[in-house]
Amino acid sequence: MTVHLRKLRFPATTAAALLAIALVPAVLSEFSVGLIAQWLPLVVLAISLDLLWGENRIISFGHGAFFAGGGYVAGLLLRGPQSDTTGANYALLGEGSGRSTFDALVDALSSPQIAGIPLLAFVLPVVLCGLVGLLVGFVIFRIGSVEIYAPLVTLGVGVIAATVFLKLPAIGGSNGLSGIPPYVGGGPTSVYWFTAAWLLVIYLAYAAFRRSRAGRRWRAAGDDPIRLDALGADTRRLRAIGFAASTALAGLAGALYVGVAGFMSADVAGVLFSVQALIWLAVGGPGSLFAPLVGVLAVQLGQHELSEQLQETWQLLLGVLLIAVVLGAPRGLTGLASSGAAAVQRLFSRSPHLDG
Amino acid sequence: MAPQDPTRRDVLKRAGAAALGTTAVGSLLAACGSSESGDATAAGSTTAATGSNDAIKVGVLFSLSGNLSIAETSMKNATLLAIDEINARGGVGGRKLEPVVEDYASDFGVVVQKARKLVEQDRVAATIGCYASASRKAVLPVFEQGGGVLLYPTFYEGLECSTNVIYTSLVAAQHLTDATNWMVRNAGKKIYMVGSDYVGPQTYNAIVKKLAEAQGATVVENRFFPLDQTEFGSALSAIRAARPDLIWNTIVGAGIPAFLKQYQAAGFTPETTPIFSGICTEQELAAVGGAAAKGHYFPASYFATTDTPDNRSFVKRYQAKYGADQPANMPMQASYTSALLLAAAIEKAGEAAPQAILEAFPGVSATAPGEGTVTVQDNHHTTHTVALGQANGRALYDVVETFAPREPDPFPASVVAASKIPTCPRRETS
Amino acid sequence: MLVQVLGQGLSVGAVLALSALGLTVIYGVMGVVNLAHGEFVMLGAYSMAILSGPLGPWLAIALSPLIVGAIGLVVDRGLIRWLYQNPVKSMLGTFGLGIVIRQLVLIAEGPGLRYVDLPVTSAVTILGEQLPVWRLVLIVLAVVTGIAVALWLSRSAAGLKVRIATVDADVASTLGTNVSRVNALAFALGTGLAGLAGALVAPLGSVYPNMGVSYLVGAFLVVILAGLGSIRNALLWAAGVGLVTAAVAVPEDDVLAQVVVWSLALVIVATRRQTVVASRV
Repeated sequence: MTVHLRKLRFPATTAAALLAIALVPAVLSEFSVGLIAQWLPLVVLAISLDLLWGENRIISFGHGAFFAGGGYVAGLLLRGPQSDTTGANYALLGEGSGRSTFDALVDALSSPQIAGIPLLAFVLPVVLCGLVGLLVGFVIFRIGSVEIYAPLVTLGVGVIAATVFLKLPAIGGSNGLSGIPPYVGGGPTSVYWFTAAWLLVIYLAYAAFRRSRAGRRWRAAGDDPIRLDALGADTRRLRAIGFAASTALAGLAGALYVGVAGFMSADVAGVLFSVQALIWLAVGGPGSLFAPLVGVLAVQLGQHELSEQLQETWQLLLGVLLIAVVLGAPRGLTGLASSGAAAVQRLFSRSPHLDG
Repeated sequence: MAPQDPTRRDVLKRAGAAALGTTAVGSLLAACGSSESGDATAAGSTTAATGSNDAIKVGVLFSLSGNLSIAETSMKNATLLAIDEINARGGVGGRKLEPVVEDYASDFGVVVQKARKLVEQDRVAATIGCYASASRKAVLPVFEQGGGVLLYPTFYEGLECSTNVIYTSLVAAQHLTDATNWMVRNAGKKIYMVGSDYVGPQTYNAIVKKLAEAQGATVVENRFFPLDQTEFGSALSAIRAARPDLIWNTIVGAGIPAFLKQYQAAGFTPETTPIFSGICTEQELAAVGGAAAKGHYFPASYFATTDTPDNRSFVKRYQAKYGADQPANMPMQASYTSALLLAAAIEKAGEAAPQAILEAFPGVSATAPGEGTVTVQDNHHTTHTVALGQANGRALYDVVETFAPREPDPFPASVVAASKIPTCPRRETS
Repeated sequence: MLVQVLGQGLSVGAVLALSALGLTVIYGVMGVVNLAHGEFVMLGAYSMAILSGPLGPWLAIALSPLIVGAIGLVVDRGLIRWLYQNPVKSMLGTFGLGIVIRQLVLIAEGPGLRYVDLPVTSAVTILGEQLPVWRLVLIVLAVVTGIAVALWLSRSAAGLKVRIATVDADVASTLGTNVSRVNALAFALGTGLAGLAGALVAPLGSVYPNMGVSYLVGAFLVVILAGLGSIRNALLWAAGVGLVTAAVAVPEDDVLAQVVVWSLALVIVATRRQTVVASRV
């Protein structure tokens, strides 16, 4: 009986999630569809963090930097070279003359296209964020006490990135990069489908990874690096590569995000946004497959529905919620829900053979 | 996160996720219900635009939480005050204005969502809002592609003239030209510049530099600081070494009180080396305190101290509604005036459709409290009268000189190459 | 220019040292990485802003660390003790705490900048260059406090207990130390030091609910370099960071200084041979 249930549950949950994703455009207004489409890339960002935190016990305070970086790169390629006044005003002040070379570069990079979508807008963010992540990963994992140093070093990465992005006229400086067109035409609904398809592919890949041999090795590297080292694995290299995979995914999330939001600004690279992303995951419950989806939707929905009335009190509630999750429910909403479900299951199957 | 039997743990997790999935769908449906009712009213106001007596929806888009809320809450309040007063006088063409207030929480990602809600879902006739340039740049495509109207009620750096935005406060060259000439004439020709490392201050400083150099002045250094910087020892020692006649300052936000107080602590006085600020209204001045601010200058189209009957009444009405501790300042007055201009434009258009309002705007005038008549020009910017204020000991400005009214020029030839000056207004995005 | 670099560098370093010292004592004793540390600096600044009017600046400076330390004591009993010896959990919990403190202050005191009078407005001339007296006061107070804390830790009986608990809580417990009391004491000390830093910067800087973040980031920079849990290193690296910042910022500019300092820090951490963190994880 129990075995039977266990087999059924995974497809049931997945089917429910798929159904929910499919129903959104059918049930909600076009505006709400556009709004939810903007949250889906945030789920991808949360997955990239879960890969570190939930699966390998590493906390990053710098993933916003990779998200922003990926977004800027994709945004430039989506927008193509810009000869008019949008974005960087410095060009008008006659101080920079290197603009045309830059435009030519953007033009060249945005030309390989499939069905009107600049291919490199996805490839470049992944590659660049992955490479920088690999570099940062090697710095982090060559020191001991990863649990402490990973947050601190990534914090530094976030501070530097936010400062540097603010200084770059090519990406709009403090005004941000705006006027980025979506990947696909046809209004919010097609943008939603495009983004949802990406999320689905990424989710399936992530679920497959978690069940694979590589996934188990990755978890083992976080749970007990010393033992894994003793077994002859190069844990440091493994973790650095895993860190790079996570930052590459964060870059992809940023690339998806600008295609929906049409805008990227430097404060996204800062510490506060990175921590916001950690809060999504904490609320969802790190280490659980559906935590990124549940956490992002719960917090963003709350923000959207409640922040108007509650204003500053909303942020206060978020803080209290974070503390409550840390103290009372380290496995987040998904953890709470599964405990609840387990209790219900016990209630219904209160029969002798359960004890067996 | 204690290691348990993995299969069993996963089963529990999935069950939980399923349960949560249903709750999330439930609340989304609730959100859907409310959004559909929103659509219904929006449809109502569309019919209203063709002549019924329904209220005209006006978007009010400011940060009411987060770090920008200090400035933007007072702008929201002033907008609502004006809308209340317009409605008390019988509304516009017999129709009331209905404010739709949105808080974007100082977040430039959220501001895009909120602007979309106002334009696409609520279908407001026009929106008054935004403060930081980044927030305006972020929502520009929303208004341009959705055919909305944005009234941008604060002084800004220019270099922009969107078809869908009406810029109701000062634009940099209009703001700074007379003040710079006065400064060079009266305080000296050797200038040291500081500013926050942002597009706005960069542009302000570039324009003042050109204007001052045209008057025969020299700029010894133009130094920028990170936004959250509250440590200005580096600038102060450079200033001491350079011995300038005056300081031009466009440090913004939290840096302002720190800079002015450290300037005072380092032994500088306004008598020998005055500071002329480009971005320091009464609101920022209050945090600097009377002693450290006294004697320094700021040009503006509105000062709280302006001693005219209409301004005394304006400040009194505002403080009666929102509290006596609320200082009046330029963006707050411009937000109030924006609502008056909008009412006049709807009146002129004879309907509340965004496109008709946009077409009606050039030539529309309103009486700005404490300032006089302001008129929207063909380039979507507004005429203004600038005055120079000097801080007194009570953290307010006393007017030392009022300049002649000046036309707005968003692309001043002094800093923009002739070939790059566009015809205004124009669509910003390609 | 040398005097200016020293003046700015050491006064920035002094504030960094006070906040980093608190951070490192808290980590060393109870294994808690306190991400709400910037908020305790902010509380110190607000305490200064509120008290310096009625009580005068000097009494306000003396009281601020006590008040903030007392708040720290309450917070330790109510929240922090559930997070002991769990760095990852403590980071998330204290970040939540930071949001709560920030929003409470914001709701109570409003989002606006608060005004604090400079206790001393004059400047002195040293080697032909002028320095604000307040910067010197700040440096002296920070150095005196730093030495006092170091002496207290090394000489007094209570300090000895704290040091033993820093090294090994089990040993301390076996030796009959009330570890729970030592922990509470250490948290109050750490937050009190942050409160003093806040009170000292309030007259020169800007006081507002979100001010804590930059102090937290600065304190962490020092702690990354010094290694968590090392008091002497924290003091030295704080001075070092302040001086390098000033040495770039005074002749060049502050944006560059920020990038240089963080890049240098990453290079130093990356090329360091072995771990410098007190092994406690």
